[in-house]
Amino acid sequence: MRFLMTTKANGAAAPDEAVYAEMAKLVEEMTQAGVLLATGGLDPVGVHVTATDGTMTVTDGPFAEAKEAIVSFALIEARSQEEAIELSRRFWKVVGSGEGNIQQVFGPED
Amino acid sequence: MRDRADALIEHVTSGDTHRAVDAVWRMESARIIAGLVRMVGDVGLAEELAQDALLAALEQWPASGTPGNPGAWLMAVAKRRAIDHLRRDQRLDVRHEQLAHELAVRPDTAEADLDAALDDDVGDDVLRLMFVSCHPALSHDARVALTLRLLGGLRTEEIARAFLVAEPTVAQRVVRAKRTLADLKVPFEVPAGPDRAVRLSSVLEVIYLVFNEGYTATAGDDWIRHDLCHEALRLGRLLARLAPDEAEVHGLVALMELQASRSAARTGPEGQPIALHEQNRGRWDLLLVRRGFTALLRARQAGGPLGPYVLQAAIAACHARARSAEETDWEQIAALYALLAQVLPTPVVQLNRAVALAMAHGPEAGLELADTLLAEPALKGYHRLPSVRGDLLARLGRHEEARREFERAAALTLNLPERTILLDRAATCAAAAVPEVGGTLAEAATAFLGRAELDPATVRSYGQTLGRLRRELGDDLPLRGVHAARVTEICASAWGDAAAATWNRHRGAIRSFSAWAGAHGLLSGDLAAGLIRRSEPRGRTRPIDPPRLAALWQRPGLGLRERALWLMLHESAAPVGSVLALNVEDLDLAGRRGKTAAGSRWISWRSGTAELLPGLVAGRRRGPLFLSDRRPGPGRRPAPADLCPETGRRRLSYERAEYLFKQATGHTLSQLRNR
Repeated sequence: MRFLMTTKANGAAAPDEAVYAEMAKLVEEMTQAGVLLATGGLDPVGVHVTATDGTMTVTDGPFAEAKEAIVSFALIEARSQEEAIELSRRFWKVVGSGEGNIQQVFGPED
Repeated sequence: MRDRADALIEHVTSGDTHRAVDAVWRMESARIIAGLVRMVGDVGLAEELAQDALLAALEQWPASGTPGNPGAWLMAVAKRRAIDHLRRDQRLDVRHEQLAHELAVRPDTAEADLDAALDDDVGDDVLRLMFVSCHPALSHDARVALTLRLLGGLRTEEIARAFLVAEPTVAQRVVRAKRTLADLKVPFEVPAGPDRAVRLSSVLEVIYLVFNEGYTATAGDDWIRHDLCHEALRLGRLLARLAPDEAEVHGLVALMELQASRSAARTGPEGQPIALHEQNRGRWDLLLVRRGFTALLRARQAGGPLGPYVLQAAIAACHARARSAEETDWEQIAALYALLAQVLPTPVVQLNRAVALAMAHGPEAGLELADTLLAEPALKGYHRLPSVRGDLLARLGRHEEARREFERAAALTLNLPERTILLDRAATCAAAAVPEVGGTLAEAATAFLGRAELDPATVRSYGQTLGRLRRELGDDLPLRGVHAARVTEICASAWGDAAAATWNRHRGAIRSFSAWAGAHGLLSGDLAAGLIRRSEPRGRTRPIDPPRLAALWQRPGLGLRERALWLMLHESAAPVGSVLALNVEDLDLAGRRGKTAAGSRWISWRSGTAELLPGLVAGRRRGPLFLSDRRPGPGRRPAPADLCPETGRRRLSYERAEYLFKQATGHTLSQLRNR
C-alpha cells in the first residue's frame, strides 16, 4: 500500500540546521529501506486553478488560508495504515511540531 | 502448535493501540529477535523472548499509550526477559553469568542509549539472522517460512495463507527448522571465506522464491499473496543496505524492482496474463523502474564478475528502457542471455535465450536452440517449451506443427487464463493451416476437387456434378447463396430420369462437397438435404456366384416347381417373363426347348431342367407350365390363356415367383440368369 504524507505550513518557525541534518539522515535511511518512494518540499505560493466544463481558470496565489497550504510531501510504501502512522511518528519526532495528513494512494490492486 | 503472540494478535481485533502494536512488531521484530539471538545464542529462545515483550506491549500500551520509540521499548523489555532467563537457567556457565551481569549493569532504562546501541550493531545482527534463517541445512520451505517469520514479522497464519498450505504445516516447518539450527549449533555469524558465496546465494534464492510466489499470484488470490512481492523487496533492500558490497544483492533488488514495476500491466481485467511485448507500458510503475536502474547501477559499482541476478536485472532493464516493444534491443538481450547461460546453464535459461535469439536473428535461430531442449528431462512437463516452439513454428508458417505445440502447452499449464490463451492460439493456427478458400461456388468447387487425396476417377465424377451446378447457378454465386431447394431442382431436371445409380452418384458428390464446405466454414446447411437416395435394383446385372448356386441346388425340401423354374432360368438365361409364359403344348422335351408365347423364339435348357420337366408336366397336355398352388378366387378370374384347363389353377405370376425366390435366397430371379 502506498500513502501520501503531507505537512501543512501552520506558521511554524523555519527548522534549524540540526533538524535539517537529522531529516536528511531519516530520508536517506527510509529511501534505502524502500519505504520512502518520493519526497519534496513545496512552495506555499502557487497558482490556483478552477475548471468549469473543461475550461480552466487560473488564479494567482497566495491561498486564502495560508496555514492550509501543503509545504511538503512524502510518498511511502507501507504494509498497513498503522505502519504508515508509525513511520510518520519518526518524521514528527525529528520535526517536533506541526500538522499534516496521511492518505492512502490507491493502486491497481485497491 | 500456535504461538501465543500469534493467537493474541489475532484475538485482539479492535483498538488502534493493538493495531499499532502489530505494526510496530512487524517493523521491529527482526531487529529485536536478531539482537536477542546474539545474546542468548538460540533462535527459538530469542523469538520466545521477543514475543514476551510483545505481550507486555499489548498489555501496557493501551493504558500508557504508545511509547515515543516503540522499537526501543520492546527491545528493552526483551533484554530484561533475556537476563532473567539466563539467570534462571540451571546450566549457567561462567560466560552466561558474565553476560547476564554485563547486561544488568548497563543502564538500559535510558531509551535513547538503547536505541543508539540498537542502531550501532543491530544491522550486523539482522544480517546474521538472515544467513541463519536461510541456512542450507534447512529445506527450502523451512528457509522461506523461517525468514518470513523472523525477518518479515509475518505470523504463521499469514505465511500459510500466502503459500496456500495448512497453518499447522507452516508451524511445524518453523519448529523443526529452529530445532535443526539448535542441533547443528549453527553459529550466529556472517560466514566468511569460500562458504560466504554459497550462503549468500541461499539467502538471495529464498528472497527471490518469496518474490516469485507473490509475482505468480493471480488476480483472484488473497491479497497476502501479492504482498509477498513487497515483502521480498523489503528483505532485498534490507539486505542491500546491510551488505552494500555484494553486486548480486543489488542485482536481485534491481531484478525485483523492475519486475514489480510491471505488475499493474501484466494481467488483463479478467486476470489473464499479458505477455511483455503486449503490455501497456504506460502502466509500468516508473518509480520502481527508476529504483531498479539505481540498484543495477549500484551492482555495477560493486564490481566483480557478472552474476546471474545482475545479468537477469540487466535483461529486465533492456525491456524497461524500450518505450515500445518494437524498440526492444533484442541483440543486447540475446548477448546477455548468452552470458547468463554460462553462469546459470539451466534449460529454462536456454529456452529464454531461444526466444531472445528468435527476436534478434529470426525464428529459425530460436527454433534451432529450442529444438535442442526437447530431450531435457527438466522441461518434460513445462508448458513453456511447447508454447515457445509453437510461437516460433507459427512465425515460420508451420501452422499445423504450431497448433500441436500450443495444444500440448495448454494441456500442461495449470493456469486457467493462460490455458485459454494457448487454446486460442492453437485455433488460430488450425485456421491458418487450411489454405485460404474463396467463398464463391467456383472457388470452393476448385478447392474441393483440387485436394490431393482424390483419385482421378473421383475428380472426374465429382467434376461432372459440380460442373452442372456451376453452369446452372453461375460461378460467381457465393456458396452461402446456394440453397438446397435450388440444388434439388437442378438435380431433378438433369438426372431425374436417369438410373438410380446415376442419381445416387450425383447425390453423393453433392453430399461430399457440402460436408467439406461445412467443415471449412464456407457453408452452414446441407446442399443435399432435398436429394433422396434412390433404391438401386441391386444385382440385376450381377449373377449369383457359383458356390451359392451350387448350394441352392443341393438345398433339401425344395419344391419341384421351384427347382424346375430356377434351374430353367439359370440354364436358359431367358427373361423371367418368357419362362413363366411357357405352355405345356409348346414344349419340345426331347429337344430340351420350348417356344415362347410370341412364338418367334425358342428357350433352350440343359440336362438339369430336362430331368425335372416330365415330373412337372405330370401328364398335362396343355395350359401353363408353371402353375400357382391354389385356384383363383371367384372374383378374380384370370384370362383363359393363364388358366390350366385340367387343374383349374392359374399361371404362376411373376410377383409370386419373385416373392418366393426372394424369401428363399434373398436374390431376384433375374440374378439366376447365367450370362
